[in-house]
Amino acid sequence: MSDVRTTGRWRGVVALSLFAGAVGLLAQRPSLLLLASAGVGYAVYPRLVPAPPEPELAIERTISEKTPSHGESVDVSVTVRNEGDRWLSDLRIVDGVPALLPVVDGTPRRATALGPGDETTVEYAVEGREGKHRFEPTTVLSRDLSGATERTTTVHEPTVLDCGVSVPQAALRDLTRRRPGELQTDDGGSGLEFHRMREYRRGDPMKRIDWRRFASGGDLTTVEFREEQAAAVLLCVDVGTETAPGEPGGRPTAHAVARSVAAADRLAAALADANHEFGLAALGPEPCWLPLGVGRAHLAQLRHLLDTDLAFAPSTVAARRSDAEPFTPEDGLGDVAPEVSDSPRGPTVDQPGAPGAEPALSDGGQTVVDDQGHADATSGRDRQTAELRERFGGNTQITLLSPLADDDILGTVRTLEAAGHPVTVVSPDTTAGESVGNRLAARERTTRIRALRRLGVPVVDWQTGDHLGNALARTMEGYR
Amino acid sequence: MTSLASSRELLDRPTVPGALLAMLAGVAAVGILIEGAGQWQALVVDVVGLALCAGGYVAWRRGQQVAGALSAIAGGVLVLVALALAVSQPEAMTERLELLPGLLGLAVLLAGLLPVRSSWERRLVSTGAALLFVGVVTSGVVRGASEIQLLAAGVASVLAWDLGEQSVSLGGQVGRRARTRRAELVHAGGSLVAGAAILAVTLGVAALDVQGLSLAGFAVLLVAAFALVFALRQ
Repeated sequence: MSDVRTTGRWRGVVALSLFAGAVGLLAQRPSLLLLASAGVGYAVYPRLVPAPPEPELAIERTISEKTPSHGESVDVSVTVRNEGDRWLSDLRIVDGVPALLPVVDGTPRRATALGPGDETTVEYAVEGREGKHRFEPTTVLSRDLSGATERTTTVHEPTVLDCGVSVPQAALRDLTRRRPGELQTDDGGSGLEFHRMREYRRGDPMKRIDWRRFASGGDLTTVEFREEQAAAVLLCVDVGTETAPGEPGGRPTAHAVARSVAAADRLAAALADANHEFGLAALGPEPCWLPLGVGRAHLAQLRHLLDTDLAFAPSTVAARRSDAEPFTPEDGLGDVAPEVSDSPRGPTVDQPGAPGAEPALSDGGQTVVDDQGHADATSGRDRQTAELRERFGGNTQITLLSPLADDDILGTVRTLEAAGHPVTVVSPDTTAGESVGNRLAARERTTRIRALRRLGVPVVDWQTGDHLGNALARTMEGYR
Repeated sequence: MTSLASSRELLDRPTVPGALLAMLAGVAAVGILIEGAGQWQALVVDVVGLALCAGGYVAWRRGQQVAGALSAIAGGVLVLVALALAVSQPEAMTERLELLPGLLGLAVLLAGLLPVRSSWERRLVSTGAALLFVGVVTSGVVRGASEIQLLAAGVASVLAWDLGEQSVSLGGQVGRRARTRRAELVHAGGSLVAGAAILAVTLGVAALDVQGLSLAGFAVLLVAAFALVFALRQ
C-alpha cells in the first residue's frame, strides 16, 4: 500500500532559464544564453533520476518496558531495514507513537538514505500514561534523489504498551448462574460463610447436620452456608458512535478508549481468577465480539482482541479525522506527511490533564469522528444496543466501560436494564482540566452519573490517577 | 512551559545541515564571480554579519535573550556595512552594482532558513536564491564574466535553492531535532553531480566553436532546449 505523488519542486527552475535567456537576448550577451542552460538542465534532472522504488522495509520495535507505571519513561527503539535491492536515497521515517503518550526524550523521526541491506535505528522515550496504548503504523516517505517524486507507505509492527495496575476484584451485581464461584448470594446452600440454621429435611448431607445441637436437645438441624456462585459478565467497551465530523458535543476519545480498554483487561483478569464467565463486546462503529467463556486461555484470547482488534484501534478512534480533514498539498509545496499530524488540534473535551505532556507530539486525544459522517448519533447507539442484545443470553450481566460522553449511552443502559441485564458502569473520567469545554463536559458527565445512579445502576467514577481497584471497591460497597 | 514551547517550534523549522549547505552554496554563487579585493572585503563582512545574526538567533532560542539580541544587532549592522562597502568600494560603477543582489540574496536566504517567520520559509528561500541568480545575471551583463564562471555561479545559486528547500521540507516532515544529515548529504551529492554534468555538457557544446555562432543562432538553440524540456514534461 503506497501512495505516489509528485512534489513539483523543480517546476519553477525553468523560470531562471527564461529570465537569463531574455536578459541575454536584450543585452546581447551569448554567455547569458549559456547560463540559461543551467535552468534547463535542472528542469530535466528529475526526469533522469529513477523513480523511488516501492520500499521493501522490515521494521522491528523494542520497548524497554511493556507494562510501565503511570509517568514512567519507556525507551523505544525502532529499527528500519531496507530489504530491497535498490537504494532508498531519501527516506523519512516517522514512528506511529500512540497519540496519548508524550515523547519525553529524542524524536520518533529520522531522515536517512538506506542502501540495500542497510538499517537505521530511531531511539526515543515516551512517558507512560494510564491505559492500553497501541503503536500505530510507522509512516515512511521515500523520495527520489531529486526530490521530485514522493512515495508514502506505512509499515506496521504491532506493539502494545500497557500502563496501569491490576484490580483484585471485578464489579459484580447480584445475579448469578448456577455455577460455583466467588460471588456471594443471599441463597443458602453449600459455601464458606455461615448463612442460617434450619430444620433438618430428608436428604440433607450428614456433614451439614449440627451434631452438637442434636446431642444437647435431640432435634436435627442443618447448617446452611451462603452459596457462592459464578457470574457471567460481558465487558462492553464504549468506542463511540458514528457521528458527523465537527458536530459539537462530547464523544469518547482516544484517551477514554485507551483507559477503558486497559480497565477491561484488568477486570477480565480479575474475573478469570475468580472463575467467572466473561466475554467482550465493543459498543462502537466496528463490531467486536467474544462469547462468554472461562479460564486463562479465554483471557488470553480476550487480551489478544483488546490488543489487535480494529474495533479498539486508535485508528478507529483517532485516525478518522484524516477523513474529515483531507490532506491537500498546496501547489506541490505542502510538505506535511499526511498521517503525521503533530498539531495539537481539537481536544475540546478531552485532555489527559498532564502538565508534562508535550502537545507537539501528543495530540492529546482525538474525538471520535466516523467517516460515514451522516449517520445519526441516536440511531447509532440504538443500532449498537440492538446488535449487542441479539448476542447474549438472559443471565448475563454487563460491565459497561464508558466515559459517559453522550446522552444516548443512558438509553443503552436503560434498554439493557429493562431487558433484565444488570449493568455496572465503569467510567474513566476524561474531563480533567480547567478549560471551559472541560468544565462543561465534567458537568454533563456528573449529571449522567446521577441519572444512572437514580436508576439503581452502580457507576464507578474512575478519576485520572486513581487506582481502579479502589474506585471499584468504594462504589460496589453500596450495592452488596 | 518554555521547553514545551521550544520543542513545538523545533518541530517544523528547517534542518541545520541542509541550511548550512544551502548557505555554503549561496556564498559560492557570490564568491565565484568576485573580482578585486574590495568585493572580497564586502563578501567577508557580509558572511561574518550573517554568522553573527544566526548565532544571535540560536542564543535567543536558548533563552539568552540579551546576548542573542546584541549579537543579532551587531550582525545586522555588519550586513549593512557590507552592502555599503559593495556600493562604495569598487571604482567602476558597473562593479558597484553587481554585488548588491548577491549579498541581499544571502541575507534573505538566511532569513528563510532560520526562519525569521514560520510558514514563510519557502518564500524567503526562493526569493533569496532568485536574488542570487539575479546577481549572477547582473555580473554577466555589466562585466561580461567568463562562461565557466557564470555557469558555475548559476549552478551554485540553483543548488542554494535546492538544498534550502530540502532543508525546509525535511524540517516540516521530520523536524529540526531529528537526525537528517545522511539524507541531506546524499541529496546534495545528487544535485551537485547534476550541476557538474550540466556544466560539462554546456561547456562541451560551447567548445564546439560557438564563437562563430550568431546571437540569433544561440536564441534558436535555447528555444529548442525549452521545446525539449516541455516535450519531456508531457
